[in-house]
Amino acid sequence: MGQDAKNGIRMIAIYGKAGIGKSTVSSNLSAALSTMGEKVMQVGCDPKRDSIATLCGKLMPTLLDEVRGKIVGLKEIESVIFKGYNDILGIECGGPSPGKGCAGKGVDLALELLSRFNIFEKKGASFVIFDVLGDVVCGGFSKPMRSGYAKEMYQVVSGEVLTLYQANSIFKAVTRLSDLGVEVGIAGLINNMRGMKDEEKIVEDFASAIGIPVTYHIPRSKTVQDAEFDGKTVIEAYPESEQADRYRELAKKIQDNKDKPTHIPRNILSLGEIWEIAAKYV
Amino acid sequence: MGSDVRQIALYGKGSCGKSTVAVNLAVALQRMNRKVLQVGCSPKVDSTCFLLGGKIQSDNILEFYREKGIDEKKIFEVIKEGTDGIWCAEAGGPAPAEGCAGRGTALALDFIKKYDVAGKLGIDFIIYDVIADVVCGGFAQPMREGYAKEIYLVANGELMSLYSANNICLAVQELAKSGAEVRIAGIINNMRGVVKEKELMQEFGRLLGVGIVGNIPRSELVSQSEAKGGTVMEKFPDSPQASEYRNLAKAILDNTERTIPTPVELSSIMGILRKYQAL
Repeated sequence: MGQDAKNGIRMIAIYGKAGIGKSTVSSNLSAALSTMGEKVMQVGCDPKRDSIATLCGKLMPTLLDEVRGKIVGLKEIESVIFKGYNDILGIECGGPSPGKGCAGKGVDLALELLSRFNIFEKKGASFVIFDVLGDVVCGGFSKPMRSGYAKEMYQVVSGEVLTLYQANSIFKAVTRLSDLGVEVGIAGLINNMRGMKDEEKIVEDFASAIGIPVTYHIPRSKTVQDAEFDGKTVIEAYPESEQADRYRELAKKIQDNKDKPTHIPRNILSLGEIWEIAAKYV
Repeated sequence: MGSDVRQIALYGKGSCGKSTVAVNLAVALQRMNRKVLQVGCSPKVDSTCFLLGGKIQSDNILEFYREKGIDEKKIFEVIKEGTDGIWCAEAGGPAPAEGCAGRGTALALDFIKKYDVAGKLGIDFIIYDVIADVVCGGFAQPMREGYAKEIYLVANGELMSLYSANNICLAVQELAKSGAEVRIAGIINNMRGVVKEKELMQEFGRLLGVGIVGNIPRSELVSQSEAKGGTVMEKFPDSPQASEYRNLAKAILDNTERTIPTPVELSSIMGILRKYQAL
Protein backbone atom coordinates (compact mmCIF):
# COMPACT_ATOMS: atom_id res chain seq x y z
CA MET A 1 0.00 0.00 0.00
CA GLY A 2 1.42 3.32 -0.97
CA GLN A 3 -0.27 5.32 1.72
CA ASP A 4 1.64 5.86 4.89
CA ALA A 5 -0.73 4.90 7.67
CA LYS A 6 0.83 7.40 10.04
CA ASN A 7 0.38 10.62 8.16
CA GLY A 8 -1.61 9.89 5.02
CA ILE A 9 1.18 11.04 2.69
CA ARG A 10 1.56 9.06 -0.54
CA MET A 11 5.25 8.34 -0.88
CA ILE A 12 6.28 6.83 -4.18
CA ALA A 13 9.65 6.01 -5.69
CA ILE A 14 10.54 6.02 -9.37
CA TYR A 15 13.26 3.54 -10.35
CA GLY A 16 14.73 2.56 -13.71
CA LYS A 17 17.85 2.21 -15.79
CA ALA A 18 19.97 5.30 -16.37
CA GLY A 19 18.91 7.24 -19.44
CA ILE A 20 15.41 5.75 -19.49
CA GLY A 21 13.70 9.02 -18.59
CA LYS A 22 13.01 8.75 -14.84
CA SER A 23 13.50 12.43 -14.15
CA THR A 24 11.37 13.45 -17.12
CA VAL A 25 8.59 11.14 -15.96
CA SER A 26 8.96 12.22 -12.32
CA SER A 27 8.88 15.94 -13.05
CA ASN A 28 5.93 15.75 -15.42
CA LEU A 29 4.13 13.50 -12.98
CA SER A 30 4.74 15.99 -10.16
CA ALA A 31 3.57 18.85 -12.36
CA ALA A 32 0.43 17.00 -13.43
CA LEU A 33 -0.42 15.94 -9.86
CA SER A 34 -0.01 19.53 -8.67
CA THR A 35 -2.53 20.74 -11.25
CA MET A 36 -4.92 18.09 -9.93
CA GLY A 37 -4.85 19.63 -6.46
CA GLU A 38 -2.12 17.55 -4.84
CA LYS A 39 0.60 19.19 -2.76
CA VAL A 40 3.69 17.59 -4.28
CA MET A 41 7.25 17.33 -3.09
CA GLN A 42 9.90 15.81 -5.38
CA VAL A 43 13.09 14.43 -3.89
CA GLY A 44 16.03 13.89 -6.25
CA CYS A 45 18.16 10.97 -5.07
CA ASP A 46 21.09 11.24 -7.48
CA PRO A 47 24.41 13.01 -6.91
CA LYS A 48 24.05 14.54 -10.38
CA ARG A 49 21.24 16.67 -8.86
CA ASP A 50 19.32 16.86 -12.11
CA SER A 51 15.92 15.68 -10.94
CA ILE A 52 14.12 18.93 -10.14
CA ALA A 53 15.86 21.08 -12.77
CA THR A 54 12.83 21.29 -15.06
CA LEU A 55 10.55 22.14 -12.14
CA CYS A 56 12.82 24.94 -10.92
CA GLY A 57 14.24 26.13 -14.25
CA LYS A 58 17.85 25.26 -13.43
CA LEU A 59 20.12 23.01 -11.36
CA MET A 60 19.65 23.79 -7.68
CA PRO A 61 22.04 23.50 -4.70
CA THR A 62 21.75 20.26 -2.76
CA LEU A 63 20.96 19.31 0.81
CA LEU A 64 24.32 17.62 1.33
CA ASP A 65 26.22 20.64 0.01
CA GLU A 66 24.29 22.83 2.44
CA VAL A 67 24.74 20.70 5.54
CA ARG A 68 28.36 19.60 4.99
CA GLY A 69 30.43 20.50 8.02
CA LYS A 70 27.52 22.13 9.85
CA ILE A 71 25.29 21.39 12.77
CA VAL A 72 22.07 20.82 10.94
CA GLY A 73 18.82 22.44 11.91
CA LEU A 74 15.52 23.08 10.24
CA LYS A 75 16.81 26.37 8.84
CA GLU A 76 19.60 24.68 6.83
CA ILE A 77 17.22 22.11 5.43
CA GLU A 78 14.56 24.66 4.55
CA SER A 79 17.13 26.73 2.69
CA VAL A 80 17.49 24.01 0.04
CA ILE A 81 13.80 23.27 -0.41
CA PHE A 82 12.79 25.17 -3.51
CA LYS A 83 9.42 26.20 -4.77
CA GLY A 84 9.08 25.27 -8.42
CA TYR A 85 6.31 25.23 -10.98
CA ASN A 86 2.83 25.47 -9.43
CA ASP A 87 4.28 25.54 -5.89
CA ILE A 88 5.76 22.07 -6.17
CA LEU A 89 8.50 21.69 -3.59
CA GLY A 90 11.78 20.28 -4.84
CA ILE A 91 14.85 19.10 -3.01
CA GLU A 92 18.03 17.45 -4.28
CA CYS A 93 19.80 15.11 -1.85
CA GLY A 94 23.14 15.62 -3.58
CA GLY A 95 26.16 13.44 -2.97
CA PRO A 96 29.92 13.27 -2.93
CA SER A 97 31.92 14.91 -5.71
CA PRO A 98 32.28 12.67 -8.79
CA GLY A 99 34.59 9.74 -8.25
CA LYS A 100 34.81 10.12 -4.49
CA GLY A 101 33.09 8.66 -1.46
CA CYS A 102 29.88 6.66 -1.32
CA ALA A 103 26.89 8.16 -3.07
CA GLY A 104 24.46 5.79 -1.40
CA LYS A 105 25.52 6.94 2.03
CA GLY A 106 24.88 10.52 0.93
CA VAL A 107 21.32 9.75 -0.13
CA ASP A 108 20.89 7.83 3.08
CA LEU A 109 21.93 10.79 5.22
CA ALA A 110 19.75 13.21 3.25
CA LEU A 111 16.66 11.01 3.65
CA GLU A 112 17.39 10.57 7.32
CA LEU A 113 17.48 14.35 7.80
CA LEU A 114 14.21 14.87 5.92
CA SER A 115 12.56 12.30 8.09
CA ARG A 116 14.09 13.42 11.39
CA PHE A 117 12.82 16.94 10.87
CA ASN A 118 9.41 15.75 9.64
CA ILE A 119 9.83 17.84 6.52
CA PHE A 120 7.11 16.12 4.51
CA GLU A 121 4.53 16.68 7.24
CA LYS A 122 5.65 20.23 7.97
CA LYS A 123 5.33 21.17 4.33
CA GLY A 124 1.86 19.68 4.14
CA ALA A 125 2.77 17.35 1.29
CA SER A 126 0.10 14.97 0.05
CA PHE A 127 2.47 13.32 -2.46
CA VAL A 128 6.21 12.75 -2.18
CA ILE A 129 8.04 11.49 -5.26
CA PHE A 130 11.53 10.02 -4.90
CA ASP A 131 13.44 10.06 -8.19
CA VAL A 132 16.23 7.54 -7.67
CA LEU A 133 19.52 7.20 -9.52
CA GLY A 134 19.93 4.53 -12.16
CA ASP A 135 19.79 0.91 -11.24
CA VAL A 136 19.89 -0.31 -7.68
CA VAL A 137 23.26 -1.80 -8.19
CA CYS A 138 24.37 -1.46 -4.62
CA GLY A 139 22.92 -1.16 -1.16
CA GLY A 140 23.10 2.62 -1.22
CA PHE A 141 20.44 3.22 -3.80
CA SER A 142 18.01 0.78 -2.32
CA LYS A 143 17.70 3.12 0.64
CA PRO A 144 14.41 4.76 -0.34
CA MET A 145 12.77 1.34 -0.55
CA ARG A 146 14.72 -0.22 2.23
CA SER A 147 13.81 1.98 5.13
CA GLY A 148 10.16 2.42 4.36
CA TYR A 149 10.39 5.87 2.78
CA ALA A 150 8.65 4.65 -0.32
CA LYS A 151 6.67 1.46 -0.19
CA GLU A 152 5.08 2.11 -3.54
CA MET A 153 7.54 1.79 -6.41
CA TYR A 154 7.16 2.41 -10.12
CA GLN A 155 9.66 0.94 -12.53
CA VAL A 156 10.27 2.97 -15.69
CA VAL A 157 11.07 0.75 -18.69
CA SER A 158 10.92 0.73 -22.48
CA GLY A 159 10.39 -2.13 -24.90
CA GLU A 160 14.11 -2.71 -25.48
CA VAL A 161 15.21 -6.19 -24.51
CA LEU A 162 18.26 -5.14 -22.52
CA THR A 163 16.29 -2.48 -20.67
CA LEU A 164 13.72 -5.05 -19.62
CA TYR A 165 16.51 -7.40 -18.62
CA GLN A 166 18.22 -4.73 -16.55
CA ALA A 167 15.00 -4.12 -14.61
CA ASN A 168 15.82 -7.50 -13.06
CA SER A 169 18.26 -5.89 -10.65
CA ILE A 170 15.38 -3.88 -9.17
CA PHE A 171 13.06 -6.89 -9.18
CA LYS A 172 15.65 -8.99 -7.38
CA ALA A 173 16.19 -6.21 -4.85
CA VAL A 174 12.46 -5.95 -4.12
CA THR A 175 12.09 -9.71 -3.83
CA ARG A 176 15.04 -9.92 -1.50
CA LEU A 177 13.93 -7.05 0.73
CA SER A 178 10.42 -8.43 0.86
CA ASP A 179 11.80 -11.81 1.96
CA LEU A 180 13.61 -9.97 4.72
CA GLY A 181 10.31 -8.53 5.91
CA VAL A 182 10.63 -5.02 4.49
CA GLU A 183 7.29 -3.59 3.41
CA VAL A 184 7.99 -2.82 -0.22
CA GLY A 185 6.45 -3.61 -3.57
CA ILE A 186 6.11 -2.52 -7.15
CA ALA A 187 2.87 -0.78 -8.01
CA GLY A 188 3.46 -0.91 -11.74
CA LEU A 189 5.64 -0.48 -14.78
CA ILE A 190 5.68 2.84 -16.62
CA ASN A 191 6.49 2.22 -20.27
CA ASN A 192 8.36 5.32 -21.39
CA MET A 193 8.41 4.33 -25.02
CA ARG A 194 11.40 4.59 -27.33
CA GLY A 195 9.22 4.42 -30.42
CA MET A 196 9.75 0.76 -31.32
CA LYS A 197 7.24 -1.26 -33.30
CA ASP A 198 4.74 -3.06 -31.03
CA GLU A 199 6.43 -1.62 -27.96
CA GLU A 200 3.19 -1.63 -25.94
CA LYS A 201 2.57 -5.31 -26.66
CA ILE A 202 6.13 -6.30 -25.76
CA VAL A 203 5.93 -4.52 -22.41
CA GLU A 204 2.43 -5.87 -21.69
CA ASP A 205 3.61 -9.44 -22.35
CA PHE A 206 6.68 -8.91 -20.21
CA ALA A 207 4.52 -7.45 -17.43
CA SER A 208 2.08 -10.32 -17.38
CA ALA A 209 4.95 -12.82 -17.36
CA ILE A 210 6.37 -11.30 -14.19
CA GLY A 211 2.99 -10.54 -12.61
CA ILE A 212 3.20 -6.76 -12.40
CA PRO A 213 0.70 -4.47 -14.14
CA VAL A 214 1.61 -1.75 -16.62
CA THR A 215 0.45 1.52 -15.09
CA TYR A 216 0.75 3.49 -18.32
CA HIS A 217 2.35 3.63 -21.77
CA ILE A 218 3.85 7.07 -22.47
CA PRO A 219 4.42 7.70 -26.19
CA ARG A 220 7.70 9.15 -27.42
CA SER A 221 7.27 12.79 -28.31
CA LYS A 222 9.51 15.59 -29.47
CA THR A 223 7.51 17.91 -27.22
CA VAL A 224 9.49 16.50 -24.29
CA GLN A 225 12.83 17.69 -25.70
CA ASP A 226 11.37 21.03 -26.72
CA ALA A 227 10.15 21.61 -23.17
CA GLU A 228 13.43 20.51 -21.59
CA PHE A 229 15.29 22.83 -23.90
CA ASP A 230 13.34 25.65 -22.24
CA GLY A 231 14.16 24.18 -18.83
CA LYS A 232 10.51 23.25 -18.23
CA THR A 233 8.20 20.27 -17.97
CA VAL A 234 5.76 19.53 -20.78
CA ILE A 235 2.93 20.32 -18.38
CA GLU A 236 4.28 23.83 -17.87
CA ALA A 237 5.61 24.61 -21.35
CA TYR A 238 2.95 22.93 -23.49
CA PRO A 239 -0.10 22.37 -21.25
CA GLU A 240 -2.40 22.04 -24.26
CA SER A 241 -0.27 19.42 -26.02
CA GLU A 242 -1.23 15.79 -26.45
CA GLN A 243 1.84 14.77 -24.48
CA ALA A 244 0.62 16.84 -21.51
CA ASP A 245 -2.64 14.89 -21.67
CA ARG A 246 -0.64 11.67 -21.49
CA TYR A 247 1.18 12.78 -18.34
CA ARG A 248 -2.12 13.85 -16.77
CA GLU A 249 -3.54 10.42 -17.53
CA LEU A 250 -0.50 8.81 -15.90
CA ALA A 251 -0.98 11.03 -12.86
CA LYS A 252 -4.66 10.06 -12.65
CA LYS A 253 -3.76 6.35 -12.80
CA ILE A 254 -1.25 6.79 -10.01
CA GLN A 255 -3.71 8.82 -7.94
CA ASP A 256 -6.22 6.01 -8.38
CA ASN A 257 -3.71 3.42 -7.18
CA LYS A 258 -4.15 4.84 -3.69
CA ASP A 259 -5.52 1.81 -1.92
CA LYS A 260 -4.39 -0.86 -4.32
CA PRO A 261 -1.85 -3.46 -3.29
CA THR A 262 1.68 -3.44 -4.67
CA HIS A 263 3.36 -6.50 -6.16
CA ILE A 264 6.41 -8.67 -5.75
CA PRO A 265 7.57 -10.08 -9.13
CA ARG A 266 6.17 -13.57 -9.61
CA ASN A 267 9.30 -14.66 -11.45
CA ILE A 268 12.47 -13.17 -12.88
CA LEU A 269 12.92 -13.73 -16.61
CA SER A 270 16.22 -14.71 -18.19
CA LEU A 271 17.58 -12.72 -21.11
CA GLY A 272 16.58 -15.59 -23.41
CA GLU A 273 12.98 -15.51 -22.18
CA ILE A 274 12.79 -11.77 -22.79
CA TRP A 275 14.22 -12.24 -26.30
CA GLU A 276 11.44 -14.75 -26.95
CA ILE A 277 8.80 -12.18 -25.99
CA ALA A 278 10.34 -9.55 -28.25
CA ALA A 279 10.86 -12.03 -31.10
CA LYS A 280 7.11 -12.61 -31.32
CA TYR A 281 6.73 -9.08 -32.64
CA VAL A 282 9.77 -8.71 -34.88
CA MET B 1 50.50 -6.60 -15.40
CA GLY B 2 53.22 -6.01 -17.96
CA SER B 3 53.70 -2.47 -19.18
CA ASP B 4 53.17 -3.68 -22.75
CA VAL B 5 49.48 -4.27 -21.99
CA ARG B 6 47.41 -1.31 -23.11
CA GLN B 7 44.50 -0.72 -20.73
CA ILE B 8 41.65 1.61 -21.61
CA ALA B 9 38.34 2.34 -19.87
CA LEU B 10 35.08 3.56 -21.38
CA TYR B 11 32.95 5.85 -19.24
CA GLY B 12 29.72 7.70 -20.04
CA LYS B 13 26.12 8.21 -19.15
CA GLY B 14 23.94 5.12 -18.79
CA SER B 15 22.38 4.09 -22.10
CA CYS B 16 24.77 6.17 -24.23
CA GLY B 17 26.07 3.02 -25.87
CA LYS B 18 29.27 2.19 -23.96
CA SER B 19 28.87 -1.57 -24.27
CA THR B 20 27.93 -1.37 -27.95
CA VAL B 21 31.04 0.68 -28.63
CA ALA B 22 33.13 -1.64 -26.45
CA VAL B 23 32.16 -4.91 -28.15
CA ASN B 24 32.55 -3.55 -31.67
CA LEU B 25 35.85 -1.93 -30.76
CA ALA B 26 37.01 -5.22 -29.23
CA VAL B 27 36.28 -7.14 -32.44
CA ALA B 28 37.91 -4.45 -34.61
CA LEU B 29 41.06 -4.50 -32.45
CA GLN B 30 41.21 -8.30 -32.38
CA ARG B 31 41.09 -8.28 -36.18
CA MET B 32 44.04 -5.89 -36.15
CA ASN B 33 46.01 -8.62 -34.40
CA ARG B 34 45.59 -7.42 -30.87
CA LYS B 35 44.71 -9.97 -28.19
CA VAL B 36 41.80 -8.34 -26.40
CA LEU B 37 40.25 -8.87 -22.98
CA GLN B 38 37.01 -7.04 -22.28
CA VAL B 39 36.10 -6.59 -18.64
CA GLY B 40 32.51 -5.60 -17.85
CA CYS B 41 32.47 -3.50 -14.69
CA SER B 42 28.76 -3.38 -14.00
CA PRO B 43 26.81 -5.55 -11.58
CA LYS B 44 24.32 -6.06 -14.42
CA VAL B 45 26.95 -8.29 -16.11
CA ASP B 46 25.75 -7.56 -19.65
CA SER B 47 28.82 -5.89 -21.13
CA THR B 48 30.21 -8.89 -23.01
CA CYS B 49 26.86 -10.40 -23.91
CA PHE B 50 27.15 -9.66 -27.65
CA LEU B 51 30.63 -11.20 -27.78
CA LEU B 52 29.07 -14.37 -26.40
CA GLY B 53 26.26 -14.93 -28.87
CA GLY B 54 23.79 -12.63 -27.11
CA LYS B 55 23.86 -14.62 -23.89
CA ILE B 56 24.65 -13.33 -20.43
CA GLN B 57 27.92 -14.89 -19.30
CA SER B 58 27.01 -17.77 -17.03
CA ASP B 59 29.66 -16.96 -14.44
CA ASN B 60 30.96 -13.69 -13.13
CA ILE B 61 34.00 -13.18 -10.94
CA LEU B 62 32.31 -12.01 -7.74
CA GLU B 63 29.53 -14.55 -7.71
CA PHE B 64 32.01 -17.33 -8.43
CA TYR B 65 34.25 -16.00 -5.69
CA ARG B 66 31.38 -16.03 -3.17
CA GLU B 67 30.24 -19.52 -4.11
CA LYS B 68 33.41 -21.40 -4.96
CA GLY B 69 36.35 -19.14 -4.24
CA ILE B 70 38.85 -17.84 -6.77
CA ASP B 71 42.42 -18.99 -7.15
CA GLU B 72 45.02 -19.04 -9.91
CA LYS B 73 43.20 -21.90 -11.66
CA LYS B 74 39.58 -21.02 -10.99
CA ILE B 75 39.92 -17.49 -12.34
CA PHE B 76 40.21 -19.01 -15.82
CA GLU B 77 36.85 -20.73 -15.43
CA VAL B 78 35.11 -17.35 -15.37
CA ILE B 79 36.98 -15.81 -18.28
CA LYS B 80 35.30 -17.01 -21.45
CA GLU B 81 36.38 -17.00 -25.03
CA GLY B 82 33.96 -15.05 -27.25
CA THR B 83 33.85 -13.80 -30.84
CA ASP B 84 37.16 -14.24 -32.69
CA GLY B 85 38.82 -15.48 -29.51
CA ILE B 86 38.29 -12.27 -27.54
CA TRP B 87 38.50 -12.97 -23.82
CA CYS B 88 35.47 -11.86 -21.83
CA ALA B 89 35.17 -11.26 -18.10
CA GLU B 90 32.37 -9.82 -16.02
CA ALA B 91 33.33 -8.38 -12.64
CA GLY B 92 29.84 -8.94 -11.23
CA GLY B 93 28.55 -7.19 -8.17
CA PRO B 94 26.93 -7.58 -4.79
CA ALA B 95 23.46 -9.06 -4.51
CA PRO B 96 21.02 -6.34 -5.65
CA ALA B 97 20.22 -3.85 -2.89
CA GLU B 98 23.11 -5.01 -0.74
CA GLY B 99 26.70 -4.06 -0.29
CA CYS B 100 28.94 -1.76 -2.29
CA ALA B 101 29.17 -2.34 -6.03
CA GLY B 102 32.37 -0.36 -6.37
CA ARG B 103 34.21 -2.38 -3.77
CA GLY B 104 33.14 -5.52 -5.61
CA THR B 105 34.52 -4.19 -8.87
CA ALA B 106 37.81 -3.40 -7.16
CA LEU B 107 38.10 -6.94 -5.81
CA ALA B 108 37.33 -8.49 -9.19
CA LEU B 109 39.95 -6.34 -10.91
CA ASP B 110 42.48 -7.31 -8.25
CA PHE B 111 41.97 -10.99 -9.06
CA ILE B 112 42.60 -10.37 -12.77
CA LYS B 113 45.84 -8.63 -11.92
CA LYS B 114 47.00 -10.90 -9.12
CA TYR B 115 46.66 -14.09 -11.17
CA ASP B 116 48.28 -12.48 -14.23
CA VAL B 117 45.37 -13.20 -16.54
CA ALA B 118 46.85 -10.99 -19.26
CA GLY B 119 50.26 -12.68 -19.13
CA LYS B 120 48.90 -16.21 -19.12
CA LEU B 121 46.45 -15.63 -21.97
CA GLY B 122 48.82 -13.48 -24.01
CA ILE B 123 46.51 -10.47 -23.81
CA ASP B 124 47.90 -7.12 -24.90
CA PHE B 125 44.79 -4.90 -24.88
CA ILE B 126 42.26 -4.60 -22.05
CA ILE B 127 38.97 -2.72 -22.38
CA TYR B 128 37.15 -1.90 -19.15
CA ASP B 129 33.49 -1.14 -19.81
CA VAL B 130 32.33 0.71 -16.74
CA ILE B 131 28.78 1.24 -15.51
CA ALA B 132 27.14 4.61 -16.09
CA ASP B 133 28.57 7.75 -14.53
CA VAL B 134 31.26 7.89 -11.90
CA VAL B 135 28.81 8.97 -9.28
CA CYS B 136 30.77 7.57 -6.39
CA GLY B 137 34.22 6.39 -5.54
CA GLY B 138 33.25 2.82 -6.35
CA PHE B 139 33.11 3.27 -10.07
CA ALA B 140 36.38 5.14 -10.17
CA GLN B 141 38.09 1.83 -9.31
CA PRO B 142 39.21 1.01 -12.89
CA MET B 143 41.01 4.39 -12.87
CA ARG B 144 43.17 3.33 -9.93
CA GLU B 145 46.94 2.95 -10.18
CA GLY B 146 47.90 -0.11 -12.18
CA TYR B 147 44.67 -0.30 -14.19
CA ALA B 148 43.40 2.05 -16.90
CA LYS B 149 45.25 5.33 -17.21
CA GLU B 150 43.60 5.97 -20.54
CA ILE B 151 39.95 7.00 -20.28
CA TYR B 152 37.57 7.48 -23.19
CA LEU B 153 34.33 9.38 -22.70
CA VAL B 154 31.42 7.92 -24.64
CA ALA B 155 28.92 10.72 -25.24
CA ASN B 156 26.33 12.11 -27.61
CA GLY B 157 24.95 15.58 -28.24
CA GLU B 158 22.17 15.40 -25.65
CA LEU B 159 22.37 17.63 -22.61
CA MET B 160 22.49 14.96 -19.93
CA SER B 161 25.08 12.94 -21.79
CA LEU B 162 27.39 15.97 -21.99
CA TYR B 163 26.70 16.74 -18.34
CA SER B 164 27.76 13.20 -17.34
CA ALA B 165 30.91 13.37 -19.49
CA ASN B 166 31.76 16.61 -17.75
CA ASN B 167 31.27 14.93 -14.35
CA ILE B 168 33.70 12.19 -15.33
CA CYS B 169 36.20 14.91 -16.24
CA LEU B 170 35.73 16.36 -12.75
CA ALA B 171 36.61 12.98 -11.27
CA VAL B 172 39.71 12.60 -13.46
CA GLN B 173 40.84 16.14 -12.70
CA GLU B 174 40.51 15.49 -8.96
CA LEU B 175 42.38 12.18 -9.18
CA ALA B 176 45.14 13.79 -11.26
CA LYS B 177 45.51 16.57 -8.68
CA SER B 178 46.12 13.97 -6.00
CA GLY B 179 48.89 12.43 -8.08
CA ALA B 180 47.11 9.69 -10.03
CA GLU B 181 48.30 9.00 -13.57
CA VAL B 182 44.80 8.67 -15.02
CA ARG B 183 44.08 10.91 -18.04
CA ILE B 184 41.34 11.51 -20.57
CA ALA B 185 42.41 10.20 -23.97
CA GLY B 186 39.45 11.40 -25.99
CA ILE B 187 35.73 11.55 -26.63
CA ILE B 188 33.90 8.92 -28.64
CA ASN B 189 30.90 10.69 -30.11
CA ASN B 190 28.37 7.87 -30.30
CA MET B 191 25.78 9.94 -32.10
CA ARG B 192 22.09 10.05 -31.32
CA GLY B 193 21.22 11.98 -34.45
CA VAL B 194 20.71 15.40 -32.87
CA VAL B 195 21.20 18.51 -35.00
CA LYS B 196 24.85 19.47 -35.69
CA GLU B 197 26.06 16.78 -33.32
CA LYS B 198 29.64 16.67 -34.68
CA GLU B 199 30.09 20.42 -34.45
CA LEU B 200 28.71 20.75 -30.97
CA MET B 201 30.80 17.82 -29.73
CA GLN B 202 33.88 19.39 -31.26
CA GLU B 203 33.22 22.56 -29.32
CA PHE B 204 32.45 20.66 -26.12
CA GLY B 205 35.78 18.86 -26.54
CA ARG B 206 37.60 22.15 -27.05
CA LEU B 207 36.18 23.50 -23.79
CA LEU B 208 37.31 20.39 -21.91
CA GLY B 209 40.66 20.39 -23.69
CA VAL B 210 39.91 16.91 -25.05
CA GLY B 211 39.98 15.66 -28.64
CA ILE B 212 37.31 13.70 -30.50
CA VAL B 213 38.65 10.26 -31.30
CA GLY B 214 35.68 9.19 -33.39
CA ASN B 215 32.21 10.17 -34.55
CA ILE B 216 30.09 7.01 -34.75
CA PRO B 217 26.85 7.56 -36.66
CA ARG B 218 23.57 6.17 -35.39
CA SER B 219 22.75 3.00 -37.30
CA GLU B 220 19.89 0.55 -37.43
CA LEU B 221 22.51 -2.17 -37.95
CA VAL B 222 23.34 -1.99 -34.24
CA SER B 223 19.94 -3.25 -33.10
CA GLN B 224 19.72 -5.61 -36.07
CA SER B 225 23.01 -7.26 -35.15
CA GLU B 226 22.01 -7.38 -31.48
CA ALA B 227 18.78 -9.12 -32.46
CA LYS B 228 21.01 -11.70 -34.15
CA GLY B 229 23.01 -12.01 -30.94
CA GLY B 230 26.22 -10.35 -32.07
CA THR B 231 28.22 -7.29 -33.02
CA VAL B 232 27.96 -5.20 -36.17
CA MET B 233 31.56 -6.22 -36.90
CA GLU B 234 30.53 -9.87 -37.12
CA LYS B 235 27.04 -9.67 -38.56
CA PHE B 236 27.62 -6.85 -41.07
CA PRO B 237 31.39 -6.80 -41.59
CA ASP B 238 31.15 -5.08 -44.98
CA SER B 239 28.81 -2.30 -43.86
CA PRO B 240 29.84 1.36 -43.56
CA GLN B 241 29.09 1.07 -39.84
CA ALA B 242 31.72 -1.65 -39.43
CA SER B 243 34.22 0.67 -41.17
CA GLU B 244 33.38 3.32 -38.58
CA TYR B 245 34.33 0.93 -35.77
CA ARG B 246 37.52 -0.05 -37.60
CA ASN B 247 38.43 3.61 -37.98
CA LEU B 248 37.76 4.12 -34.29
CA ALA B 249 40.01 1.18 -33.42
CA LYS B 250 42.80 2.60 -35.62
CA ALA B 251 42.39 6.05 -34.09
CA ILE B 252 42.65 4.59 -30.60
CA LEU B 253 45.71 2.52 -31.47
CA ASP B 254 47.43 5.65 -32.82
CA ASN B 255 46.17 7.97 -30.11
CA THR B 256 48.76 9.46 -27.81
CA GLU B 257 46.58 12.14 -26.23
CA ARG B 258 46.58 12.04 -22.42
CA THR B 259 44.88 15.09 -20.97
CA ILE B 260 43.99 16.43 -17.57
CA PRO B 261 40.65 17.91 -18.62
CA THR B 262 39.19 21.28 -17.73
CA PRO B 263 35.59 20.59 -16.74
CA VAL B 264 33.03 23.35 -17.29
CA GLU B 265 29.86 24.67 -15.68
CA LEU B 266 26.48 23.41 -16.82
CA SER B 267 25.73 26.88 -18.19
CA SER B 268 28.59 26.49 -20.71
CA ILE B 269 27.10 23.19 -21.90
CA MET B 270 23.69 24.84 -22.25
CA GLY B 271 25.43 27.61 -24.18
CA ILE B 272 26.83 25.15 -26.73
CA LEU B 273 23.45 23.49 -27.16
CA ARG B 274 21.76 26.86 -27.71
CA LYS B 275 24.39 27.87 -30.23
CA TYR B 276 24.04 24.75 -32.39
CA GLN B 277 20.48 23.75 -31.80
CA ALA B 278 18.63 27.03 -31.54
CA LEU B 279 15.30 26.59 -33.24
